This record gives sequence, structure tokens and C-alpha cells, in this order.
Amino acid sequence: MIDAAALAREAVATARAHPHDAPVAIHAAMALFHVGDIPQSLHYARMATSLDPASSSALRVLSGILNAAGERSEAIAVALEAVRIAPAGAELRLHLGGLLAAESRWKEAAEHLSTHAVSAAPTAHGWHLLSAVLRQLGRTERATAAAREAVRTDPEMIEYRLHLASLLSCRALHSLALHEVRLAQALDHENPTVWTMLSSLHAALGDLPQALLAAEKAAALAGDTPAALAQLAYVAGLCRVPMPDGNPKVWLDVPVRATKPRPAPRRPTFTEDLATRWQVIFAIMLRDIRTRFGHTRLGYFWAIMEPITHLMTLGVIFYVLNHGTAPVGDNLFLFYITGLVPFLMFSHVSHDIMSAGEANNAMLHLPIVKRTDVMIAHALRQFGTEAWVGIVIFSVAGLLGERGVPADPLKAMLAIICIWLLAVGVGAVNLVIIAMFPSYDIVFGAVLRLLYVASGIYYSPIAMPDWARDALSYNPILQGTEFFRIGFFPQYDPHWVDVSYLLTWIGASIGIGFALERAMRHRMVVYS
Amino acid sequence: MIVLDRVSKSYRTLEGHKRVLCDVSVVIPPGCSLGVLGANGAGKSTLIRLLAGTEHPDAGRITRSAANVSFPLGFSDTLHPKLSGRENVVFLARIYGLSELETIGFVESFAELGTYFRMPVGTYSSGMRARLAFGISLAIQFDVYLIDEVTSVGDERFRTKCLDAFRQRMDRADVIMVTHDFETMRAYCNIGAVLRDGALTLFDDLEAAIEDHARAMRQNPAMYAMEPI
Repeated sequence: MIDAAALAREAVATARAHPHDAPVAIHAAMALFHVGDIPQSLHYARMATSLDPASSSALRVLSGILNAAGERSEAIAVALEAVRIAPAGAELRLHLGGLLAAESRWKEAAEHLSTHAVSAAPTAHGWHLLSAVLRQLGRTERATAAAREAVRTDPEMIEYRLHLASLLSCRALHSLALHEVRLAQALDHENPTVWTMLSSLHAALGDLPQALLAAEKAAALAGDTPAALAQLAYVAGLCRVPMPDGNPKVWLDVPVRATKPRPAPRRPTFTEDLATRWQVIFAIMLRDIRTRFGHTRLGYFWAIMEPITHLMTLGVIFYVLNHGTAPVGDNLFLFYITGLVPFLMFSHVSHDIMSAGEANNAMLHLPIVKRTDVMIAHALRQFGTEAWVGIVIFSVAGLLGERGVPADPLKAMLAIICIWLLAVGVGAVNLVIIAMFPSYDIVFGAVLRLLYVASGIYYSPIAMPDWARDALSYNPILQGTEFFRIGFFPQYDPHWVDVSYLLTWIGASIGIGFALERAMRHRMVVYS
Repeated sequence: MIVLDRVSKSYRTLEGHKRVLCDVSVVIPPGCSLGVLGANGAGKSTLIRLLAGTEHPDAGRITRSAANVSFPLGFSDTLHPKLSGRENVVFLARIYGLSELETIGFVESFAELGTYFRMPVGTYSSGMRARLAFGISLAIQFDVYLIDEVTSVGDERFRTKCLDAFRQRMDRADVIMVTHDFETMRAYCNIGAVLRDGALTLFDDLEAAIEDHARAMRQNPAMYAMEPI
């Protein structure tokens, strides 16, 4: 220090002796800067630049001193001027880049620092600074490359390694980052920052015990600084272990809950169980009616009107197009309707039950609600809706002087129930299949359209050749619609209707459907 | 009494099967409140969902003999966004066979939603939804309450109210709890369980469970270390 002071005095004396020599003035400024006399050194640096305005080294010295004096914007202006004079100055670029970075002018800083980096002798500090600036610009990949260069140039610097590690973990390359931190650890085993970083990397890699150990070590080394404690609290939270030196009060007033033996509640009887199921199903039906048909009083009315208009339109169109006589009964329109009503019962109910299995059906999150409850609720609600549609439409027919009441109401009702049960069974099977293969929805839609023409809605199997009739009679829905017509029209008793065949279908589909639902229950995840 | 009989559960993940429970058999007797411990990702939430019955085990059985097990407390996913808060309450009262008017009265005064109580839940803020869900959970007397990370809802006063109401329910109910808040766990649970590597170990004393878990987390870390990616 004494030497430096002596040198400074000597330099000042020389500068006074040669007031027009710029290099001497620069020397004096630097010597004064070294002894910490900023105002004086600033004076000589300014003198040097005014003596030789084209000297980049004078400008460089002035800029450095200005920065030390806290005049950063002026320092930048001077450094920019120096770079303009000597664009190849690597050190100059580094200096300017550092100043710009300190001013958060990242883009310009990056420009000058990259020039420094590609120069003949880039410094580790330069690479490090460039990396930091690139990170600020969001270019983490390039920043990582620069950080790696910094580490390569100066492998002993812990800070550079940690910076590289943090960049790597930014890009989720946690194990590479861990490698770097381990190398940093080898340099200094007692560095709390290294341990904190090690802890967060272990946590990111899912190695919680290691993370906990590292966090505790960091806290011990850092003497419980907020950063180390925050990391420890975070890892302790992940590990679900209490903080070692948490609130001591917690340990003191622990309200001990004694085991209170309670008699295990009685297992509900079968009837109680049934009552609970009905409670749930009924509640779901009411909620569905509310949510599906809106809040208006006419909501449910529209739910019925919609299929009625559908039926009316179809019936009228075919009635107008086709002037032939009805195959059964004496009104073609009525013939169509007697086919459409049972068919729509099938297609609507089977489709509606499928929707009971939709993964987002939030009701299934309630432990008391079983998927079968939702299925049954959907089936019952849809039965109600379709029954109303049928009643309204046939009443209208009756009012118009046509046959509105079935010839054999019991048989017609039975047919409708058969169709409904078949729809429930098929819907249950579909529900499971769709849970396994979501694209099945499209397949079943196609099958329904095929069934639409194969179920004897717009024609009667009477008019068919024997082979076609034989083939069609395998369709259980055709069996159902024909069964309904038997009940509806007097003296209609076709020989191809086989009720036991229909019942077999019903039994098999319901049995398979609900058994599948039970078997696959655990695979049908309810997403949260 | 809740019985887990040789229960296994695993998930298919990108890295292959992740085993959460592996052949677990435990009995949680009535009168015991259980605090479940385990590191992050050990499967505590899955265990709660299995107990609630919203998920099913791959193998084995879970028997809740006659115990009316709650849905996870304050769970708002079951609320229908199109229905008003009141209608949602009515639905839950219906399925649990409660008096609709009483339940509505309780939740309306508890959740403090004001006129929003009659507005669709879809218009609620997340805080309001949570308050409504808590109100509903607490309106029903379950035998076993499942709690998965009670996130603090509302202000201090509302939390106190929740705890008071919950304490009343606890006189006749047990709780199975997953939380990072050991104070809460100590206040409500008397037995503990540690979930680790697919095994669930039951402890008669919660402190013993906490100690065992903390020791395992610190000891022999290599045993639980994951392979670096």
C-alpha cells in the first residue's frame, strides 16, 4: 500500500512535469485509482482523453473510473466511444458488456460480450457474464453453452459451476446439473450454497432423503439463513417430516386424543340398502332433469317436445312420399309411428346409459354414488321421457280420430318394457366398451343408423322375401317393434316374432353388461 | 371399521408401472383417527381415493363395514356448475337422506355466500366454491371423514369456524388425514401409518409413526434413491 501511494505520488509528479503527455496522464490516473483517490484519478483521466481524444486506452480508463465514481451512464457513453475507435478491443468489449448488463440493457450487452467471447483470448468472467445476459434474454440453451465455456476456462471457480448447474436445471437437465454441483462440491465441501443447490436438485430428481440431508447440511453450514431455512422447509414439506427446530410449543400442548372405542355401526339390512340406492337414484334423476333441461319451467316440456317434433316430421315426410296402403292397420302414418316410438326408446336409452360412464361424471366422486346408480337413474329418466312422448303422440292420433289406444294395452306396454330393458343391457355393455376403447362411440353410432333401417320402422317384414325376413328376424329391435305392433294393432300376429328370443337377448345383454361393469370397475378411472 | 384386505394398486406411467400399494392388509378400528405419513408421491392421496371408493384397487378388497365414509373434505369437484349452491346442497341432502331444509339452513349460514347461494356454482370464485364444499362436508355426519391436505380456506375467522364445526362432528366420527401440518395431525389423530415403498405400516402411537417416518427419510438414503434420469 505504501508502495502504491509512493508510486501514485511519483506518477502525479511526472504528470505535472509533462502536462501534454497523454500516456503519463493515464498512468497517473490509474495509480491514483489504485490508491482509491477517485476524484483525482477522474481529473487525470479526463485530462488524458482531452489530450488524446482518439486514444481508446485513455477512454477505457476514464470509463472504468467513471463507473467506480457511480457515473454509469457517462461511463457507458465513454466506453461506447472507445469501442467505436477500437472495435477489436476484447477487454474493452467485456468492460462495456458488464456496464450495459448492470444497466439491464441485455441486448446490447449480449452483442458486446459475444464479440469478447469470439476474440482471441476470452476470459472465464466474460463467458460467465455473457451466459448471465443470455439467460436474461431467455436464450437458456446458448446461455448454457456460454456457462460451460466459463467453467472450461476456469474450472476452479465454484460460482461458474453453480451458474451452469442452475441453467441446466432450468432446462430440466437435473442429472447433468447434479454432476456439475458435485464437481463444485469437490472444490469446497463446506459451501452452504452448494449444499442448498444439491438439495433442490435431489428434490427435483425425486430423491427426497438425499434432498433432506443436503438441506439440513446447508442450514447447519449457513447458520440458519432465510434461504437455507426456506429450502429446508420446502424439502421437509415434500418429505412430510416435521421441521427439526420448528415451533417448540407444538410439542408441549398436544391435545391427546384418547382412543374412544365405539361400537361398530350395524350393517344395514337389505331393505335399508335398497332404500339408500333408491334415494341416490332418485336424487340423480331429479338433478339430471334440472341440469339437462335448464331452469325454465318449460324445460322438461321441451325435452318431450323435441322427440315429438322429430317423430312428426319423419312420419309426415314418409306419409307424403309414400301413398301406398299401410302394411298393417289402416293408416300409414300410424304404422310409422308404431315403429319409431319403440326404436327411439332403444336408441335414446342405450345412448344415455353410455353417458353414465363418462370419465368426468363428477357425481362418481361421492363414495355413496355407484356407477350403476347413475346408469339406472339415466335409464329410468329416459324411460319416463320416452313414455311421455308415446302417450302424447298417440293421444294426438286418438284426438284426430285414428287409433290412439293399443288394442292390447298390456302387451304393448310389455313390448315397450322389453325394448327398454334391451336398451339398458346394450347400454351397459357399451359403457364398458367405451371406457376401454373411446372411439367405440362412432362405431355404435354407425350400428344405430344401420339398425334404423333394419328394424322394420318404414316397412313391414310382411312384404319381404323369406330369406330377407329370416335375416332381419335376428335383429332383436325388429322383434321388439313388431312385438309392440302386435299389442297395438288388432289381429296382427306375425309368425316371425319370437318373444323368447327377445327375452334371451335382454337377459344376456343385461347380465353381460352389469357383470362387465363390475369386473372392469377398477379400470374405469374417475379422473379428478 | 375399515378393512384393507390384500389391496394392491399401481399406475401405468411413462417409466412403467408405479406401485402405490402392494399387498396391503390393515384394519382401521372405529374410534381410531389415523394420520397417514409418507414422502411426496408415496401414494397418500391415492390411498384416500381408494378409501373414499372413487378409485378401485387392482387386487384385493376394501371393506367399509357399515361405516359411512365421507368424500375428501372440502372437495368441490362434485359441485355441478350449472346448479346453484342451494340446488347442489339439496342434491347431497337427498342422496344422504337428510332433511333438505335443515341442511340448506346449515350450509347457507355456514358458507356465507349471501345472494350467491342461489346463483349457479359456475359463477363462484374458487374461495366461494371451497366454502360451499366445506359447508356441505360438515353438514353431513359421516362416520369417517377423509381429509387430503386441508388447504387453508378463507380468513382466520372462517378457519376457526370450520375447526369448531369439525370438532363437533369429531365427537361421533373418526378421521383419516393426510396433511403436511403436523400440528393439525397431532390435534386430530391418535394413531399413525407410514406409507413407504407400497407398504402401509400402522403405529399405535402417532408420534411413533412420525418418528419412524422421519428416521427412514434421514437414514440410509441410498435405499430409496431413484436412478438419475
